[in-house]
Amino acid sequence: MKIYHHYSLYGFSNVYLVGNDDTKEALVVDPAEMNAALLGHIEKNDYALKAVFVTHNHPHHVRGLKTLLKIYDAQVYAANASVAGFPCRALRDGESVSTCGVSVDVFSVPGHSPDSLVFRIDGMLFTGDALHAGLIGKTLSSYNAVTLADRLKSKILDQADEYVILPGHGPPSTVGTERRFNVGLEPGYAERVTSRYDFFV
Amino acid sequence: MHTFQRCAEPGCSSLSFHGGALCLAHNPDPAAATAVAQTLLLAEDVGKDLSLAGMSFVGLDLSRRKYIGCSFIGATFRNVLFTGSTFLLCFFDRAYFEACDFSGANVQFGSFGGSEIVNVSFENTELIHCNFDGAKIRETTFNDSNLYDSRFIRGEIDHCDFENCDLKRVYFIPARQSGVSFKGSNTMEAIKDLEHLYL
Repeated sequence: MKIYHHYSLYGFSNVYLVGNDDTKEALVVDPAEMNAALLGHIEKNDYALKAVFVTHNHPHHVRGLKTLLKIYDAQVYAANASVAGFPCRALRDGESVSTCGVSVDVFSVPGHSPDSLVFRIDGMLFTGDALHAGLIGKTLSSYNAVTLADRLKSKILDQADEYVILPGHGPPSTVGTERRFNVGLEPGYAERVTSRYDFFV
Repeated sequence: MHTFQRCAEPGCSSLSFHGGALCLAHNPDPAAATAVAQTLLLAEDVGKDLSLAGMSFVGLDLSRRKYIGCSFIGATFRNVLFTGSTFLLCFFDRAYFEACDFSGANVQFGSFGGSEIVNVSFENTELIHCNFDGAKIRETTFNDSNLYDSRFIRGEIDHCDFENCDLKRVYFIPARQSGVSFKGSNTMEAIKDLEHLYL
């Protein structure tokens, strides 16, 4: 399995292309944008893009959908029935989806947004904005922060230390590193969170 | 991407080592497995999807190589040269580095979380989207490097130089620091407290 990381300057977001060289199929996680570099990578590898997985419906993670779906006939998967005006196959917590020759496990981790999902493919966890290297996703209340921290601890950080965290922003990490050093999981951190406006939330 | 296959030894939660079904600790001949991996590393200019967790690297010259999607989790590096090498999506979590040279290297989208880094040169290095959270870094230089979007959260940094560095979007919130120099670096563009997060 090949992973291609693309850094989108729109929202400083991470876009991931997961390619299966056996089936020559690929999926995209969080298409923040669709540009020549990403398209070139799909075409150069002769991939058929079959699926798009959306961790949450914020513009800087889905803006590329419009372009992508003009080019490829891909199924969109998200927590909601539609994203950016495009119909989606709605996913639920604990579900597994088989596509592109891989199994995608779905974890619901609300807090940063009500529709936040984490996807696991093999030992890779695509955490969107729920979990970043060293931090948890920004929330608008301490209630949401506590909810998010609890879900992360019980569903994501109970997995193997070596599993890889591929977040929606910033550098990658591993489950073991986040369990030991994530600031957002420190006792009392979530309770101190206050509401604050930010364009790129 | 490197394998996430578990070690075949019952009860072991580690990942299997390159070329086998067991982790290095449960391999009946770890020296032979390490020698095979070392020969491969020295023979090839490009390493893809290698699973070398826990391996010990001593005195190797791996300059001007390229590594993609490799796991070096928990590995030990002593007197290793990575001068001018490229690392994409490589993981060095919980690794130990001593007297190594990454000068002129290009490290993108990698993780050094929880590692221990002693007397290492990252001079003139591209360290873009790199995770140093929880890392204990001592007597190490990052001078003249581009650290764009990298993170140093809850680590311990002692007597290190970050002079003439690009610190744009760098999260520099260590648990402890002493004797750290930022001379000539754009510290105003770094995030140094949790009140000013972009996320």
